[in-house]
Amino acid sequence: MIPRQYWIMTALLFLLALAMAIYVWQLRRREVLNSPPPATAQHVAPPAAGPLQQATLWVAYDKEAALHRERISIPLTSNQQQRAEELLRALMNRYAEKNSPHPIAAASELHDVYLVDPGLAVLDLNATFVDSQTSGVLAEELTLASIMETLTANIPSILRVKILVDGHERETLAGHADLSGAYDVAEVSELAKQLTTR
Amino acid sequence: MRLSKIQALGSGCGCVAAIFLCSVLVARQEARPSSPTSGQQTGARIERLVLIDPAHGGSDTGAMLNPAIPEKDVNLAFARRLRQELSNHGLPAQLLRDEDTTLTADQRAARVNSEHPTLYITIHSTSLGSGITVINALLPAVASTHGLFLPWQTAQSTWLAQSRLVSTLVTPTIERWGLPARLLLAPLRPLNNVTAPAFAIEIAPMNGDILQLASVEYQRLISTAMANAVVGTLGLLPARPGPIS
Ligand SMILES: [Zn+2]
Repeated sequence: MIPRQYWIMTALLFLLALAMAIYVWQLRRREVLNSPPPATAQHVAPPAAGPLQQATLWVAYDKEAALHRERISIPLTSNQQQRAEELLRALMNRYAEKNSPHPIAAASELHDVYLVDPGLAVLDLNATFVDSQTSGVLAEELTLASIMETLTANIPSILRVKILVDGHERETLAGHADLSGAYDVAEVSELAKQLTTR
Repeated sequence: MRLSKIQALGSGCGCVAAIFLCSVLVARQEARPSSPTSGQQTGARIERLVLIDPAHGGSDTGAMLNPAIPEKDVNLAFARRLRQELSNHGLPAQLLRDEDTTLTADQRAARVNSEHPTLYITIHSTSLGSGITVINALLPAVASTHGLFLPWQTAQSTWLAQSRLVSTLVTPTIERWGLPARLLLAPLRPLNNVTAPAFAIEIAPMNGDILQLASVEYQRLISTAMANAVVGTLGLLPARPGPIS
């Protein structure tokens, strides 16, 4: 005769193992569900040139450690997703110029912008852009604030911004600025004000 | 016979559970960074404590300020001088690392949160800008909270008002020492995860020459200014929890 308590103990341990397995499976499922949305977001092919329009770029100046507002004329489409891509490419072209105020590597690229409701913009940059960033709190802040302020100055419906690198999450931009979460553009605007008033 | 099988099965399961628990405990122990280094380690809790964190270290060099000067070394030199200056003012200070060790942001935050310092200061250095930038956490947008638990990404939120108050008061004092100083918000870990009043500083040369960061005179000026600024504001912050020595 097997004592009852051994059966109970074995059953409890079995249930515990089963519960742990279910918990781990649920954690994995939640992680998959929370992963960034590129697969579901609609990607639009590069746009044909639209009519020239005035746009605002917030340009980082490393020497002054400050942001400056610049007005440019570029072809912009009415589609907000394409518009975001056009604006960021114009900003990157500005930084790739010969006497750039905030130099980036020549092969720097924006892969895509995904606009996900409500108000979340997911930017997918290439690793060259990120790897060529000057490492430092202030230096990386200038890059982030410049990107986010340029987007929101021209597309006010963007409320949050998340940055991916080659389609993947990355911990920091270049060792400092945290990229693990999405950023509230209202908070970043407060930071941008600190970078424009010196 | 069957009884011995069941006993074996039961003790086997027990062993697995024990090994699991032990491995969790060992993993937690390994995740803890080495204890903060201090000139005055005592068993009793001290009323006010400044925890200084020289950012980066070990395999994380931080920025290469020039080909021969990694940021991690400059940060450590400033941190040691600041600890000395604070001690000269009679204020206990500890370093989160006093050697070239690698610590993750999570390990740093876990250490700070278990230590309950009066103030946590993390030190960076850069070639960009001039003087000292005093930085408070810019917290990420987090969709939901988790009941009684603080979301790790925004754990600083409860202390942010105190952190900003101290930073606002520290900045003009630094300027009185002839150093350019500015306030900034930054999405910078582990500031986001720290459950104590906290700020970061990023130190830049005043003359544009990166070698100034390595000079004894400049390090002394910065740490003297910082220590005076910190001492002047620490009385505004609550004392550490627990019995006072
Ligand atoms: Zn740094």
